[in-house]
Amino acid sequence: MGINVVRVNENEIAIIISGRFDFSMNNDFRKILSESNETGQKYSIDMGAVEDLDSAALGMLLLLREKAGGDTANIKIRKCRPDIVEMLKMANFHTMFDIS
Amino acid sequence: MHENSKDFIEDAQGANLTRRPQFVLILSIFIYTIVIVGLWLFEQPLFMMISALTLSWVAAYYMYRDLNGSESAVNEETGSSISENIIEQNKSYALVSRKVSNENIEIADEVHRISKMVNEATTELAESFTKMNVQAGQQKKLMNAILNGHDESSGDISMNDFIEDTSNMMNYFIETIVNTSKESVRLVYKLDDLCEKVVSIEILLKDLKFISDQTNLLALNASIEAARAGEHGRGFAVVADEVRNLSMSSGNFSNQIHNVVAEAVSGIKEAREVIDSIASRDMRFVIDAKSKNTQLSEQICEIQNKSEESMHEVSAIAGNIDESVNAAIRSLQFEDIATQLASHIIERTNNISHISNELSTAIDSSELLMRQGNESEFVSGINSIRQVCKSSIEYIDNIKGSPVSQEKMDAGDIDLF
Repeated sequence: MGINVVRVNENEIAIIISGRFDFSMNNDFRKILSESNETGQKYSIDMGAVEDLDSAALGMLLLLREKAGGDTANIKIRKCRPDIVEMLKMANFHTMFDIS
Repeated sequence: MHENSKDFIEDAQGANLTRRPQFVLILSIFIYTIVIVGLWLFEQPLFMMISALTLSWVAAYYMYRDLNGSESAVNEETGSSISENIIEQNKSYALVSRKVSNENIEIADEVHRISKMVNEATTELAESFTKMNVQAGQQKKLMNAILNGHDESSGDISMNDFIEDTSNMMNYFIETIVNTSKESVRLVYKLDDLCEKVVSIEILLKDLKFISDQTNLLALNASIEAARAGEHGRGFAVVADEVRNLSMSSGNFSNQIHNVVAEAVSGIKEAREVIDSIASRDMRFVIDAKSKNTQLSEQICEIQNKSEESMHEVSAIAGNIDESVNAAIRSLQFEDIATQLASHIIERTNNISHISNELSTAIDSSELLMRQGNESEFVSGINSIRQVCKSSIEYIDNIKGSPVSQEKMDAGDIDLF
């Protein structure tokens, strides 16, 4: 349960989330937000170990996107389980993030 | 008839009418034989030869006459029995003719009935087919009305619009929930910042405490020095006491501020919890509902499409019914030709009856003539019959009227009758 952040290189950050992605993770997520800026950073979020999402998680992802440049943000969400993908699609996230 | 003739001839051979020439012949032969013998006795070969020849000629003559006589006698005999035969035969012919005539009347009647039945049946069929045509047309109209109702949105909310509206509504709700969560998290972060600021007051309070503690200490020191100075230090001792009091009040205020800060922090923590519950909405429920909605709309769309397809098919079938009914009505036109043919048949049977009647009448009237007994009247009787036959044949030959040629009946439009 938690978020691991790895800085791959100067412009790339890898985030690995596991367990229940919900409001309880807001503190850890804040750290990621505080480090991001609009200068073309790439984010790669690994959701392979995410069991469940709730609206708080979606809200947090949107905050990240906002912070990382809004429409110019470059965020990949990878390794999602099918039901997670479904949820992201229903919330229209496939138009805002690169989901795979 | 044949047997009768034979009998008559045998009878004729024994008739008295033939005996007299035979007797004369025998007598003549006898006389001539005697003459020949006499001549032979008198050695007169020439006269002998002449007599023999004469004898043979006479014999031949008599034999010839005999035969002819019996023949003519036989002829006369058979003649009269043959004529009787012929008369009887003619009477049989007359009977058959009359039978034929009667049969023809029956035929004519039956053909007439057939013709009538066909006419009635085809009239009824034509009516039924016309009705069918009308009804098929009505069906087609209804179908078209429904189809057109489907294509336009006739002012009412169509199913598609409803489904789209529902879908849009769900999207809106999902968006709202996610946005609320996002802003809630943002709010939490702001509260955290606020909390930090509030907590930083604590640090300031520490400094303040240090200052007040130090002040207290200094005031104590001042009091001690004032006591040492005795009388001169009394004023100073008062000041030092007041400073001590002030620092103690400041300490109290610090504590109060500390409490308020603690309350603020706890309040903020509570607020966080409230926001936690606002921000944490279960998305699965919403997403399940949305996917069900999508499924339902797809199913409804499919049903709509299928029903539209079906209605198009029905419309096409109505068109086919139209064609089939038209073809059926066209084929009923055979009735025309059938009726004509029937009346032709009846005409022909009437003609046959006519000539049969003529024949039997002629035979009846000739019978009297033929029974007169003499040959010429017999012959004229037969001639009259022959004449009637001849005129009957002419009658048939002269009848004008070609049989109706049957044409194919798939040309052009049908006539509804």
